[in-house]
Amino acid sequence: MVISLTLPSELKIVPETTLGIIKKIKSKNINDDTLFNLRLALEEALVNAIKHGNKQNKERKVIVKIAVSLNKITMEIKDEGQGFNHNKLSSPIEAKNLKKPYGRGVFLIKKLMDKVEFFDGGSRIKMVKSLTRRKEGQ
Amino acid sequence: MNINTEKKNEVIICHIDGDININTSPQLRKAFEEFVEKDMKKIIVDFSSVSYIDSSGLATFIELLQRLKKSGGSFRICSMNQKVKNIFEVTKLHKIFEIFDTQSSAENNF
Repeated sequence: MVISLTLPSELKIVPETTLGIIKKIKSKNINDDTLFNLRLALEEALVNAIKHGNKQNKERKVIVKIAVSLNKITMEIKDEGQGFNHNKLSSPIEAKNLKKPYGRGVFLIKKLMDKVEFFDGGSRIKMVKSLTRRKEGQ
Repeated sequence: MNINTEKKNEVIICHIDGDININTSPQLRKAFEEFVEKDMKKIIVDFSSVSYIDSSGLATFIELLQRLKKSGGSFRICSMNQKVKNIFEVTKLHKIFEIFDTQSSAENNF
């Protein structure tokens, strides 16, 4: 299964778009915990692309490519922004940052996905998750 | 997302029903601001009907924690499902929030 979408830079469409994608993926018999993690990682990546990448400029687009194979799912999100250095983000779990409201998006993506890579100076993120299928009857 | 509140003695119990995401967090933030403005100092947030939370939702709860701390209040979270609880644990936010398995245990803790 391959899903390709071009989205406008509007934050309000993110939850519904993400749910729509997850609904399609769900038909592939993926377990609920994995679906939850995929949904959250995808939503965080889309919000980052629209908010921080494209600065909510409605003329800029976000490209989404998702490929589901037998054993893994690959999700790629590309924005039209200048990118960023993900290695320079401060850790939200350090004591001094724990009570800061923001700065958890990329951290969550890295925690919930099995492999996360950034390309094009940080304006394209590639997330890979190994798949655990639901057993028959679950 | 729907928010229903009930008052038990001096404790406000806030029942949230639905997803807490970038679209619904502002509604939650507004409800919390009203609690603080009305000088409500003891709040329990019931997560039993919350099946999803994203980083904007986490941010909303951190902001509530900070505002209540300034006004001398506090809040408890109760009845999280395991997936949502896992997000609080992964982000280590379970260390700064008071999280209880049941509403009654949260009530008894005030």
